[in-house]
Amino acid sequence: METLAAQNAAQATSRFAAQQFSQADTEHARIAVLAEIAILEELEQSQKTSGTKGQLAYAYTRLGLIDESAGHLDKAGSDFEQAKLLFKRDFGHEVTKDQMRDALLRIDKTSGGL
Amino acid sequence: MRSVRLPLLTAFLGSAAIFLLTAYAGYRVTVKAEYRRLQGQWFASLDRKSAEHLRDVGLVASSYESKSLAIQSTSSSLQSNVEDLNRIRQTAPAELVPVIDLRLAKDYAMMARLEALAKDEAAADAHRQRAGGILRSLGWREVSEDSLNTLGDQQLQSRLKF
Repeated sequence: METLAAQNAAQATSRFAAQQFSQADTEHARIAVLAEIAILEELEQSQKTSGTKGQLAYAYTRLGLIDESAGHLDKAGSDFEQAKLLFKRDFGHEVTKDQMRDALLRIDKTSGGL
Repeated sequence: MRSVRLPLLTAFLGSAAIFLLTAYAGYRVTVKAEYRRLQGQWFASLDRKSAEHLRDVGLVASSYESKSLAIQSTSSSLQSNVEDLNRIRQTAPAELVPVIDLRLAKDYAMMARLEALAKDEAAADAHRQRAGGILRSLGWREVSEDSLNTLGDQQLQSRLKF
């Protein structure tokens, strides 16, 4: 039950962040992604990360894209660096920012957006 | 003899029924207490405040996710879901309130489409206004009548209503 609760918390906030990224203005999208990151990081600390592999990396990628579109390029750069580190930790290989962005957009398209 | 047996039998059956009901109630209380005790140990590797916060988020998210799976494309199911979500929302952790709000907006958008199909334009408009108000509060850029109708239609057609 504990693992299921953790997975539901991660899924609900991740799905919401993806929809806000697609539909909402920059500020609201940013708030949603930051909330998702906070939950995922708490779950990592509690070591209840079953079913959430890669999610934090994609959340930081999303945050980087939001910061980039808002013109906060330094912040976006550090978001993407964090995303790349997390991706390497979870999947064992290096990726570029463009690869992460493309992968994220593919996932969002597959999961249906709305 | 027969006149003595019947009251005895009735008394026995009555006592048995009371015993079984009491045992069942005791069992329910025990299971619930045990579940609460186990729940209190969730995320125990975190500090108390963080563990409590994550437990709250996990429980509300689980309730929300299971309700999303159970929604059917009927007015009664949607109305029931809206009532349940409003109840959950009252005590939900802050980060889940907008998540619940988005679900509410989608439910209202679906209800608007169903009312429009039933030719009740006033009801359809009222639900659409509710949906639009919520989406605007969530920062959505596009909340025209057409986009709300599209949202409602997509949700009605979707088997998994996320």
